[in-house]
Amino acid sequence: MIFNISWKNIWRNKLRSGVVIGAMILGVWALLFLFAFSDSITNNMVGNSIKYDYSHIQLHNKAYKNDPTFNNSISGPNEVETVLAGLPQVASYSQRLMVSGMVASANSTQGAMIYGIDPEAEASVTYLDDQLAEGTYFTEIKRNPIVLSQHMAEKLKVRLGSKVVLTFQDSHNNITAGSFRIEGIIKAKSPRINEGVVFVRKGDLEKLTDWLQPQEIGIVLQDIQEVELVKAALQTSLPALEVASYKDLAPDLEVMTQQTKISKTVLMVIIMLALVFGIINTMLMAVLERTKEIGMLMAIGMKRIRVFTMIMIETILISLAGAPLGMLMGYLTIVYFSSHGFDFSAYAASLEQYGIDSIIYLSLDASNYFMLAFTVVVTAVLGAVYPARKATKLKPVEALRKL
Amino acid sequence: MIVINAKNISKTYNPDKVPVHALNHVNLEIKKGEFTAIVGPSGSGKSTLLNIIGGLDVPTEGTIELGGEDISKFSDNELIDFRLKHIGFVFQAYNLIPVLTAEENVEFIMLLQKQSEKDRKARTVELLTKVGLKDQMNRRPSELSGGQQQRVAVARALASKPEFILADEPTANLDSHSTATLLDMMANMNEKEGATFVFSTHDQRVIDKARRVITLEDGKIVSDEVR
Repeated sequence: MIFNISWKNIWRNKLRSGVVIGAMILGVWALLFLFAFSDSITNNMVGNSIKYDYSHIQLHNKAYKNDPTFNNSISGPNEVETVLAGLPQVASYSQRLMVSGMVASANSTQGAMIYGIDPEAEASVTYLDDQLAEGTYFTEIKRNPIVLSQHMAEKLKVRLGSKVVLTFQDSHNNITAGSFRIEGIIKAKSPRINEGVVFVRKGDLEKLTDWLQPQEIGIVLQDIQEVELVKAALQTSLPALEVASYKDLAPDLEVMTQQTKISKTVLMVIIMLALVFGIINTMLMAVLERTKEIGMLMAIGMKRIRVFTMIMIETILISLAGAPLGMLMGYLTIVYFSSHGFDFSAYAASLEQYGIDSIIYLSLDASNYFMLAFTVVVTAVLGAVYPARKATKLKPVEALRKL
Repeated sequence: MIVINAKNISKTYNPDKVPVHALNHVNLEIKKGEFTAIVGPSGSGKSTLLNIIGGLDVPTEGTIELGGEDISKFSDNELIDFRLKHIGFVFQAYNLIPVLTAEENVEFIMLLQKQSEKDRKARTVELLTKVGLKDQMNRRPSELSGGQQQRVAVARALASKPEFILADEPTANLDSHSTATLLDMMANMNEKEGATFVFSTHDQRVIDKARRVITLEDGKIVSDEVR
């Protein structure tokens, strides 16, 4: 009966209750949308960095980080490959021979990291071929082809077929140079690659450097969730190497993810606080309007705890009435934009600098819905306590005298 | 048998500021089954006395016993419990729960007493039939006339079979016909249910119907007439 009275009380003043319910619908919808938006942008940026640059795991010689020279390469790469082939979680991997040098065109010279790669293996790890904007991917030019980013091509003022000269130190510390012809220009989704990495065939670089061992092996797993597991397994199998996950390689990505979580929490607290005050205000008005009635209820024998419960239920019901609808609206909005996407083409150039796609497809993990539902319940309870306490403080004899 | 025993009751409002002495050393005994009217001009202390008898207010001085229990020493929760079990209230402004139907309003108090659904339903139908509102039991207070609402209030007051029915100006908002119907009904129930009825009123029609009339003036009993 108390539940029945509470439910009916909500609809006494339809407009006032409607405002609270509407605010809750709007608040929940807005939060879900903003959660999805910020998560999707962060995930896009982090995902692009992992997918097109860092991979899930990288292997290096333990000394390479502090002294990136030929001597600190991965010795016995074939044995490493045998270990990798034995791990079912590993989807693909790519050996990289890397050297720091200069890229010179007829018009300009730029510093760059020169990656000597096996095109097929690299494509399966960083999807270089998918990022091709112009030209081909190591299939047409037989002698010394090179693939570089649009950004690098613009800086060098070169185009497809142009010749560039790579200058660097070989493994004997002699300055050496090689002439390469541009076969492909990629629209790199990694800001780091976009800024200063060029790709040549590993075999071509091996000849110029007179060095065969790679300095880096990039690894992609079947499932990103298994990163820590595989990292531990590799560390055990290959104790001489440094095994680094993308979190180790790019701690800023983890910071970005944590920052997004904090922003979401702050946003949720602000919106829920606003809703709490709205709920308190509405319910306080409802209690004050019904002072006489509440006094009568206590006079005829309704205990204060029941009055408290009645107002609590009423407040929680009014708060929760809008939440499911807000969630449904939020879910449908996310579903719509998960297939249609948000088109930010107008800002593509700026977004590219951060490794963000120009079209963002919304997605939101189910845990967000549960977290929000829990927060709404907490908000409702918080909003209910004060008006309910106010009601129980009434003295029947005084309340009955109220007009 | 004396069921209401007020001993030396005084009530002073605002004792620290501007004291208002609503009751001055009132002594009163009411026997079981009496149909008593407390009368007097406005401000004489009728409602205050009724509130103290009903445990809604506490005296500044003196004790009040209902059914042999000194309720002036009860805690707040004990008073609420006592009211629920032993007292039925009828208010001047009916004070029904507006979102409930007549049936639910009558049933509500039995629900608070945790009576079984079967007993609740049977008693509700019985009482609403007695007050002539069986056909209106699914209507909300706003769909009933003032007289009908007050009859529902009486049915509610009697629902828990209380020993005491306290009515504060029950006919103040009713027309002559409704007043007569209500008074006949309450007199009839007083006989059949055996409850002790105490009214505060200055309605002559109620006074005429009462079998005992206690007159208050300036917080003191100035006459006590048993008919």
